[in-house]
Amino acid sequence: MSSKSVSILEGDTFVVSDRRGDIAVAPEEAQGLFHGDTRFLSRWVLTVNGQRPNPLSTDDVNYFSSQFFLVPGTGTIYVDSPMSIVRQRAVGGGFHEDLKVRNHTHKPIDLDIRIEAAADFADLFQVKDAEFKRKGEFYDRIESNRLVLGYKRERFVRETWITSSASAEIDEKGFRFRVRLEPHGEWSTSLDVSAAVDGWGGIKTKPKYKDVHDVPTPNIGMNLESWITKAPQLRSSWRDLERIYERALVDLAALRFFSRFAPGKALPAAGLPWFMALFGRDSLITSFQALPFLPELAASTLEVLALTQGTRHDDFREEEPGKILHEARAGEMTAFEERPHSPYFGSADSTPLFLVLLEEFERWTGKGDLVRRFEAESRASLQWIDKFGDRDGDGYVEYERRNKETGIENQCWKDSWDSIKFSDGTIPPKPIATCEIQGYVYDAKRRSARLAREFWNDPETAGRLEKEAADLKRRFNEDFWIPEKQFFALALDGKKRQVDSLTSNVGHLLWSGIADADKADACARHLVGARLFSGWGIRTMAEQEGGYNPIGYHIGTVWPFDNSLVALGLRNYGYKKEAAQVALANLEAAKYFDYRFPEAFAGYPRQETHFPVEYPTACSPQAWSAGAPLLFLRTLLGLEPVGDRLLVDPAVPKQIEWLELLAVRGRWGQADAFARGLVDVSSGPAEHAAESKHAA
Amino acid sequence: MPQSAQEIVQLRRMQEYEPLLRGVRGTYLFDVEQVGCWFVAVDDGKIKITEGRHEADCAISCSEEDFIDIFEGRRNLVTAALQGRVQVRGDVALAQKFHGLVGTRIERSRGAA
Repeated sequence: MSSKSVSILEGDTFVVSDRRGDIAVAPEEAQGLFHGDTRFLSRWVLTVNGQRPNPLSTDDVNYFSSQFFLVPGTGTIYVDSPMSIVRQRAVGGGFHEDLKVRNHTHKPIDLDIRIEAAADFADLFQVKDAEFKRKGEFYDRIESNRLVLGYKRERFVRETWITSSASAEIDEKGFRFRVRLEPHGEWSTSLDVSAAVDGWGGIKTKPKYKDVHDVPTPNIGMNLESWITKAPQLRSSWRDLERIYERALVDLAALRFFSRFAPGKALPAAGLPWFMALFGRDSLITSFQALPFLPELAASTLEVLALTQGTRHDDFREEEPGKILHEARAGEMTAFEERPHSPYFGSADSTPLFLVLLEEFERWTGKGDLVRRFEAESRASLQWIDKFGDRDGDGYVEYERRNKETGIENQCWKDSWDSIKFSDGTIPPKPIATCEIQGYVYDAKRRSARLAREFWNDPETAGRLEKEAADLKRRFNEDFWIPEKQFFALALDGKKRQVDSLTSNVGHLLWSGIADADKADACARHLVGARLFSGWGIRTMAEQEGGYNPIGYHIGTVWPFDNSLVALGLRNYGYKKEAAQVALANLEAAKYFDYRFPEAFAGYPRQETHFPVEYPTACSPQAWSAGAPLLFLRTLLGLEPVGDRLLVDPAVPKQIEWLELLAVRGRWGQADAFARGLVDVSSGPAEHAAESKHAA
Repeated sequence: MPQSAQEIVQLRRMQEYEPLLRGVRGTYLFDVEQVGCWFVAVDDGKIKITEGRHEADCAISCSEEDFIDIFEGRRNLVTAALQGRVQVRGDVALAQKFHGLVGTRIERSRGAA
């Protein structure tokens, strides 16, 4: 998000305004009051005597409220402002805004205060794609003290209800207040904006807060204070690390929401502003990252994704029995099936990742009830992998969109259309089997084997899954390895050719454990080598590749969440120093982003720019970016459940003198982890580490 | 192909167990405009349908045409609800389970190559 905008959010309701508190931009810009993927206010402009006041100061008080201090005119050092204006806003259901005007002079002032309001009820997809062809009709009406702005298409109705506590002249464009302010007097009003929706569990919403200073009660079962208190306490000699950690916890709290497909279970939305929705892959990975810190997220994510698991064949939505969803939306385009997100199942990795998270959840928490409860869903997921994921029976999961109009072309985490490229920059034909998805499948089968043996009383299935995983690993290391380049191919294309670009996906193979131990050394050297490692993190695609672009979404930028999984992978294969190097570089970059990882940042070399360069349209906050510092901490501290104990095996860079993580919850109750920074990451890549989790 | 809501309910009444509802416990009220109401109790996959309006965990109301289309897999319950054609009230998780159940035997190809 632009630093010129102010965002507050709660669940899938959020307000993005300028620093005055106004919403006054072109329709294709993501400002407005959004709820359920629909923009319920596209204009909200305050004027005083026909002029827009200017901001003195703006504050995001917390993630769901903000305040704006304004004065009329530009002011000079010679002329004091005769009045000040304060707008305080809290979002929830819609929003509540307290507007106060103070007269600082000893004379009365007559004011014409106006709030201009309009709603375009645009679907978020329309805002994102800047396409505003509308098929419904707009209307408005005034009901005593309420202005209603509406949009109707057949029986699809969305309305914005606006009321003021102070008496006003109301017309179809807003509210006018004619005010006489006595000397040193104050005038105020409270404005309530509600988003009215009907349909799937829909009710007319109302602003949750009657006063901006109400005690915050987010809709997520646990308020912010409890959320922070429940998470382990981090202390470190490196204060920046503490700030990054705190910011990550707050952002994860802010991004929790109730999906309309499964209310009552708060899980992470993917990111503000474009992805305030349920995403299978994002929620699963974020929950994995946060497991040692906030295991509640994983439980909710698993429950919601199990509930919405595919049951039918539907080419439009790319649904198949057993498949875990990709994305769920609720705007007009989804409602009228102009987009397939009701929900959409176009991802080939969510299903194995569901199994990975389920097993990891039990490993950390010891809560086997969820594993038993989701036996049928797990078996359906395993069946999907073999029956539908592997489209051509070659033993690999591949994708090719069945919805040719609005489906996603690349159904892996690098889901932009041009993310998968040969080394010469050309785009391979579909179907595509990306390497990391095979790793996830390997991991899912291995982990599911344990669940089958220990929880489903099914040693036969356990044995079969272990055999299949071992076979997959053997075949994968033959088919994807490029001997002359000494790394794994990004993918196999539709003609079963190796897609030979060097990418960060190689690191995911270490995370999943599918890479043979004798190939790990070469992988690690590539990952921290100059072509992939920018100095701030591992690029999505290596320099010198034909498709490389340091500001290309998936072809050269650095993604902190990607790096967090890669660092854990390096660590799992015994590359402690390299893992520490990657973690430290990313954490150092976070300082330049106000201690909050953006979705991605540019892949320019560190020695060239000296600071990490922003990626222009990155979402922030974004869930798996907020989860990244947590996974980096797990990796640095070497936290690993071993039976009913928590193993702590730190490998912390010297730059972090010491750190401690207190009250880590898990099947062991609570445990503390302490570490001293002893790893020197200033020199080149380390020698091959001796112990490897995946050495066998 | 069933021509009326009554016919669909009669067909469903003959099915006393639905494996896709295993583990599900709850009650539904289907309110079909100008036709009638049916109360459906689900207990770990076992289904019991009775006629009449009763308090239910999840209430789904719509026209008879939409009711038939949804049960026959011609209309998607979720988009019908988002469009305002169908009202879903109460426990939406139960509605989601119902959504997973209807139309599962129908191969759809709209939007595909």
